[in-house]
Amino acid sequence: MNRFIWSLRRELWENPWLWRAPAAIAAVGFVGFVAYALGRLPAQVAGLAAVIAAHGSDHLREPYEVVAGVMMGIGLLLAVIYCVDALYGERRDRSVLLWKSLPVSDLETVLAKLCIPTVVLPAIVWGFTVVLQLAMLLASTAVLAAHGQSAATVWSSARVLADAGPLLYHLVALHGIATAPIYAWILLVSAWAPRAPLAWAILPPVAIGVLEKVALGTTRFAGLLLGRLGGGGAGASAGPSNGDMMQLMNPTLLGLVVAPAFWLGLAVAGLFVLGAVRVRRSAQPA
Amino acid sequence: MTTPVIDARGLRKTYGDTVALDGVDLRVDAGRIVGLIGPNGAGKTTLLNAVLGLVPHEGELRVLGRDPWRERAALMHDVAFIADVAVLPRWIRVSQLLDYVQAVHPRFVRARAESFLERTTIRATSKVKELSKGMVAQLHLAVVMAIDARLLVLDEPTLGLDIIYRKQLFDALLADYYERERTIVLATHAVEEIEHVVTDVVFLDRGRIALRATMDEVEQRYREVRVHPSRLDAARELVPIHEREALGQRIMLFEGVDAERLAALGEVRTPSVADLFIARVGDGARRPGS
Repeated sequence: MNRFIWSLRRELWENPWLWRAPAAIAAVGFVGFVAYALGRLPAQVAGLAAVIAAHGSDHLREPYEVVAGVMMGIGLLLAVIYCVDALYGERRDRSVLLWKSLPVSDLETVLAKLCIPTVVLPAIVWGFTVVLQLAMLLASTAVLAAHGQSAATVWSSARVLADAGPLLYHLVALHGIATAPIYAWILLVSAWAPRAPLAWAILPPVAIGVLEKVALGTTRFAGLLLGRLGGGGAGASAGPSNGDMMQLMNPTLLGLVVAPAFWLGLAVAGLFVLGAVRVRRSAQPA
Repeated sequence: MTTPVIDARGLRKTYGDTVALDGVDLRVDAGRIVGLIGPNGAGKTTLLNAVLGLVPHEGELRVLGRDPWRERAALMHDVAFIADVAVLPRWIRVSQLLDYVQAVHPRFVRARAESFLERTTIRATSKVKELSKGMVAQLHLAVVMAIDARLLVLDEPTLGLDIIYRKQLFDALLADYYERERTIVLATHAVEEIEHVVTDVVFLDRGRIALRATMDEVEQRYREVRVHPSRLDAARELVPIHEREALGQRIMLFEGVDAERLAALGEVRTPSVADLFIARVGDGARRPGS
């Protein structure tokens, strides 16, 4: 276990952008929100009845959902970038020979690398998202106080703390673990590709999607991939929308674990991981 | 008979149509310093990669009693190696490297690595990309020497290094060897460098072992004679394994010929490993089957 934890640490040392990029985006988001709050927030709160009449009661919550959505998108992008280079990069700089000179198995290494996009990165994105949302709330409170207004409505609308748990579930379970087959596929390609691993990772799925469209006239494969990448879990649904834009708990944990597609996806991820382990075993520097 | 550190029988490895190892039999006993010598493309790195569990192969191979291909991670508890080129990632800090190796390697003695590094100008906060080539080699050596390994494998460890670093490396290697029981396998094509370091030599040529001998055996079995011009025909009757010309004199290398008979032909001495290598592997050497 100690080796596994240190392998995760090593990944974060090698790829500090995994936390720096979300931090930078959060900082930019905060500056943007402060500009918005200084300009429009007091007037919105002052005319709250008119705002609610025009846009609904959740209008004040939208900036919080937008930043969460943007952070999720950044997390997805970073996860793909990370996986593409995770096993290719160590062959390119020949450091694979150093790592293999240590008593850490290929399985431990590949699992640690899979853990980054499925658990570590979602947790990082969650942390910065919650901190950003809290900072936005505090900035709102300060701006409104400067105008002699109460921030109670904003606090009750934003629901930052109430949504923190569901957001963590959404990021780790749906964007992370349920998306594992896609990340594991990219890791397999990263372990194998002689060069241009991104192209090798993208082309086969695109080819399958095009073939399906031409041969059958359907787009189920593309829909399946996009659904997983979009955090749709395993295609399971807890039921109709409850009105939340983010749908953080859809599907619920129960809905997820009883969905055969979820377990099928994990089985596929397992096969890709074993493939990546096998390829890395005899990996030579690229 | 004790279990050998390396026991290879009929080791064979091909890459497509290219035969990298062609039926290598090799036994390395504990406590030896083996110089694995061969020209470029002879199969040295492939042989070491097989020993280190980095490539699959045909034939039987046991290292410290283990199958390296199936048990690489476990084997690495007792084996340390430096590959043929700098493999330390450029992004890592010296302190991070020590932290990581300390965390994952139960036989790593951090104080030993730090003691080695104190004698250099390498700082713990430096990143590898900020170090010179020689400093990177020193850092890697410090890490490897600090691992209490039973087998140390070095593949072209001095490649691209200047003479100062090369001397430091071999000094450190020998000092470490005499401090504790280790077996060292050292691959190089710079024959002269390791001549006074090794206890055994193995010549590898085109994937086959051309010579395997201890340095004592080399001294006993091989003689080089600077032949007197009047004795050339008599010398050739004794079938030298190699003949060359230097400064206008014929120099012949004999295997298994009595020293007293050779003394009558001219000046006799023990050949250098480099001369022996050229005789057995270089152009004009008698190949197996030729």
